[in-house]
Amino acid sequence: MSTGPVATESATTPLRKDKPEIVRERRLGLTVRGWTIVGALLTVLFLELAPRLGLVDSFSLVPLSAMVMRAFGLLTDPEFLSQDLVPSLLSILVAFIFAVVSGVLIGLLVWRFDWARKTLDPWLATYYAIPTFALYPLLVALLGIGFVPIVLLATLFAVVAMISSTVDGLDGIPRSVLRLAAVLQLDPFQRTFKVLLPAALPQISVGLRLALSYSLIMVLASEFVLSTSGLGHFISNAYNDFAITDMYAGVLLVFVLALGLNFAFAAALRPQSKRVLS
Amino acid sequence: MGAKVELRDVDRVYGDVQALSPTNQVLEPGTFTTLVGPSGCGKSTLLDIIAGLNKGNGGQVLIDGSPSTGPRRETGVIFQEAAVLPWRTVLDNTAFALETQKVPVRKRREIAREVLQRVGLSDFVNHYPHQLSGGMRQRVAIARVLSTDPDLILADEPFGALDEQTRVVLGLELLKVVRQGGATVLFVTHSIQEAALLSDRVLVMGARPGKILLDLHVDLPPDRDPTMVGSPVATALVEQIWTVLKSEAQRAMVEQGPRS
Ligand SMILES: Nc1ncnc2c1ncn2[C@@H]1O[C@H](COP(=O)(O)OP(=O)(O)OP(=O)(O)O)[C@@H](O)[C@H]1O
Ligand SMILES: [Mg+2]
Repeated sequence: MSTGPVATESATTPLRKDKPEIVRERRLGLTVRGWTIVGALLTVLFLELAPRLGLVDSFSLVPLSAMVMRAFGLLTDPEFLSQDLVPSLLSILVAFIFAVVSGVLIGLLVWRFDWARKTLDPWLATYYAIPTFALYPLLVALLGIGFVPIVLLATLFAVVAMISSTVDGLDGIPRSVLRLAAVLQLDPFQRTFKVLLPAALPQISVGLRLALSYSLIMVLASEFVLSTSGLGHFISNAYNDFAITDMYAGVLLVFVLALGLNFAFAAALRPQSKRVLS
Repeated sequence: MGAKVELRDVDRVYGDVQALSPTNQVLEPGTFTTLVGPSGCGKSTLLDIIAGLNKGNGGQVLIDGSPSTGPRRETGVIFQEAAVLPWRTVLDNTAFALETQKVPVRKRREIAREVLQRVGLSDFVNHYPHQLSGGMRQRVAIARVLSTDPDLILADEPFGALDEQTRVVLGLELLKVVRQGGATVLFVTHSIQEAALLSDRVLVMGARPGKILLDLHVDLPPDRDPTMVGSPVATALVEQIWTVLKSEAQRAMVEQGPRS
């Protein structure tokens, strides 16, 4: 472990663990956020200037401004919207919802029943070491190509994050809260929706963000190979056709989509994350 | 009116540990009884059995004459860590018990406001638990218990995590509100002073096997105030309890000595 002067300083000042935004700390005169902005600006500058100055050839990279222009063009193109953007968003949404609902249900079972935990624990521990994507030939053989295998792959990929976070959240519920539920004789429905899930929500919301990212990644990756529509298919198609600007415009849209969803999520969950007892 | 609690040969064994040897006791309606004793002597076990949270191995708990089979609505339980729900406001935490009993929103909030006033939290109805001190959170838990107007209140070291002053203040507050409602109380504590100050009766427990060694009547007036800790009656009582607990502790040390 490298311990610079800043690290030593933070080690001696007790940090409250419920305040993760320790961005005030300065390194080389800039806050962490400052460095993030500098990094982003440099990237933007490079993407714009490198192709223009001939640092990379124009078949590999087009200037950022061209990508942005093309992306806006795509967003007003009804065919792109109906053939590519909407199908992708729909697949992501469906996969996400499936993953969340089944993940939370399985999480509740794993937490509640020892046999379920004993059965699933080894799977949960090693799941993300297994390249789920390698299943795709099997899924093509079973389900053909299109919407269903894509959603299924994405759900399979995202569900485990939901299961793990749900179980973590439930495991963290104080004993007194569980005993309260017993004393008040809550029926299983009340117990689940008025105590267990709200109590586990801080961890579950971590899982929600992961599940959303995983759904998005898996849907796009599957569309590259498993689909005749969707944003992923659009990008791979553009790549095969040497339509480099289209390809980058597609990649840019994916970026913006991922970041936008993530920020929206973080913002939606913020008010609730404060209501956690330390 | 308070419930009458009768324990008939109630006991509990964990593996080869006799957590509670067969116990016979009667808690008279409306009395405030404290249970003191060394750590691990079975206080929580006894309390949980009465609460219906733990099944004894044998014997019977009769509440107002009928055998207890599990938790009951008229019993209020206060735990050591305040069992508050962090995502609910003070008001909705207090109304939670009534909510689970399907009392309409307006009615239960009205009751919650009223009990919050009794425990001195009127100014915090819209706060969330993380905005409160530990003592205030415990008051919320007490308010929730009071909201259902219980005839039996079981408290397992409810103020154990609090500082001495808060503990005395809250204890006396609890005593006062309980007296108003007339509930029977069984109160577990580590603090012998607390036991003497709050209760009508003190049961002293010993460990291995967990059993009640001493049953003491507290000869103080029903309305208590903090100065009574220093009264001759309380001092004598504390001394008496200490003597028993000290010899218990010595016995435990002799028993555990060769093993460790
Ligand atoms: N679930 C359990 N499984 C096994 N042994 C248990 C269990 N619960 C309690 N015991 C044992 O029973 C005995 C009494 O425990 P109990 O919790 O009732 O003690 P206590 O008087 O409440 O102690 P403390 O003052 O530390 O809270 C202890 O020896 C404990 O180890
Ligand atoms: Mg205990």
